[in-house]
Amino acid sequence: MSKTETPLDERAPDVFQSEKRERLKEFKSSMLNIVKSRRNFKDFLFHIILGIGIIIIIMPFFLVLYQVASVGFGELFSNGFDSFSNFFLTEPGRGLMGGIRNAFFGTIFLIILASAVGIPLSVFGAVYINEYTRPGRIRDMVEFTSDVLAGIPSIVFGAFGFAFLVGFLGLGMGLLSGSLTLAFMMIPTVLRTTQEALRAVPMSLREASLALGATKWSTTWNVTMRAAFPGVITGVLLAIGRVMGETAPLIFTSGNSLTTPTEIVGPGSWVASMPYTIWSYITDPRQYLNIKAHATAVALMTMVLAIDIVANIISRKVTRRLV
Amino acid sequence: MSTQEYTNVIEVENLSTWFGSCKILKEISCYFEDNSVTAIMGPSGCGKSTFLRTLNRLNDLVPSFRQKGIVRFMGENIYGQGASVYDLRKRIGMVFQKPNPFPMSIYDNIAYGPKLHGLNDKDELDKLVEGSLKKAALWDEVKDELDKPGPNLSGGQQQRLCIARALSVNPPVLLMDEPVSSLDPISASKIEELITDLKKDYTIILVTHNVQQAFRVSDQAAFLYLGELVEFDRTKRILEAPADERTEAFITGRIG
Ligand SMILES: Nc1ncnc2c1ncn2[C@@H]1O[C@H](COP(=O)(O)OP(=O)(O)O)[C@@H](O)[C@H]1O
Ligand SMILES: [Mg+2]
Repeated sequence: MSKTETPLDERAPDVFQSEKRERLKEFKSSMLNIVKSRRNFKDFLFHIILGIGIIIIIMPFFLVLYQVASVGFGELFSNGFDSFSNFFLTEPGRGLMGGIRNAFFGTIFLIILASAVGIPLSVFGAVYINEYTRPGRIRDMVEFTSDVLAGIPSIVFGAFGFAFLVGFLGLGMGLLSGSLTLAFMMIPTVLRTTQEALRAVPMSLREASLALGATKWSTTWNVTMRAAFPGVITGVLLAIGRVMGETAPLIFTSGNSLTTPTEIVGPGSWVASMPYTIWSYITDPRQYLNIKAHATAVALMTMVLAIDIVANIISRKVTRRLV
Repeated sequence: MSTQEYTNVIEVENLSTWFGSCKILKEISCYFEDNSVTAIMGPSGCGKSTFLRTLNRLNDLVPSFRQKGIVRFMGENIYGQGASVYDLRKRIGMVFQKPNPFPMSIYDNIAYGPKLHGLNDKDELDKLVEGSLKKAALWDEVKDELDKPGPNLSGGQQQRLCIARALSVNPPVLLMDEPVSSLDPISASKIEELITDLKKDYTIILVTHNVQQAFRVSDQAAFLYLGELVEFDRTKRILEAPADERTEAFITGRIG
């Protein structure tokens, strides 16, 4: 640098240049070091392989997001917020040119009903098994059954729902049969995560409550469940997120409809759902339905993501407040 | 229960206990006087916790547990017919080895017990929470953050919270199972001080591994060895002139 005053903008590039050269030298020497020693080279190779692995792992997520969002967002926001709300709040109408109100509310109704049946059943079941029975044959059997249930493909649940609920019990297709089929699918996830959460509650917490003269019942609901709550809520939301995106269990059980259901059982209870709608729109030759399928997919993904985030917030907040 | 005449708040006669076929306590007889601190000493695994948990029937939770002999609380056999385990546990408080506050606010930790037993009046609960925390020497430290989670306190504070929780239902007897063994020395000495204070109003049975601690805080001491009650007398007498060589070995640190 010259001794005379140089204007700042003239001096700057010079500084950058030297810094750059400095960095480059550093980088070169470190690369050289790596290649020099075999051990370092192996390490370097390993890093590269891991890096590629990670890219392969996360790529599908971004590809799906890009693919679905690039098409879907155009449809959702073609006309600002109006087109957005219209998409969810108008019925498909003639030629399925309208929105997906039937599927949006259909999915919400299905999930609410499925949760209302599946969650209490699984949570009470887990509490009963863990807190009120001794380890043994029956407990092993329930756990084994529920693990097997978790591994059953969803299409088999659909077939079962069709044979048992729709056929044998005579419920017919519709909201009730669809929800109950989804409820069956929720049971293993909620049951097992609740069990895990209960198992993680230290015995001494229960003992502290009992030592104050509490009954077992009071101890279970006021202390044990409270401590297990973050785990339970996580399991519940995971299960909801999972069944929300299922098509197969609904194909033979929920029917389909262009309007929202007016009954729980019976002909008026036929109900559309978002995954089912995605599937039927995407297989349709009409191009504009294809785009609507993408928009529905974006919406569904966002809903599942929102549930996950809520799960996270609740469990973290509760954890912070309670533990 | 309290209608009976009695000389000592707890009297144990020929108590033996088993887990399955394993005999843990062997024909133990002793008593605990009102407003005194009794230290139960002995090497680990000798049955100290089992003994303590027999006194409030917490061992009933273990399916394989069996007991023979008599434990009288305020004159009545706690394992007798018609004895209420809930009533018993309400009147014999317990503090555990590791602090175990409930996953609730400090306030709710204390209010839990009284609420269980039917107290719902807000003002009375407030008073009780304050009183219990004061008795446990924790009030000054937490009075401005009663809605904070109990488990967020430091280890020593948590243990004092657990003591306050046990005191909230006003039990005449307090069982303490190595209450300071998981704490740092400063917290431990605070709790030792507290125990000496509480003696005025409560009968305390303190399990401890630590001879010095027994010496500092207790009036009577019992020395258990392999489920046998080897000595039971004034602490001073036992520690200064042990009558049994096993006691002496324990005091001098050769076993334990
Ligand atoms: N729930 C239980 N089931 C079976 N054995 C137990 C149980 N609890 C304690 N024991 C046994 O009882 C003995 C005494 O244990 P414990 O009373 O905890 O000893 P300490 O408190 O003196 O260290 C030990 O041998 C232990 O293995
Ligand atoms: Mg012990």
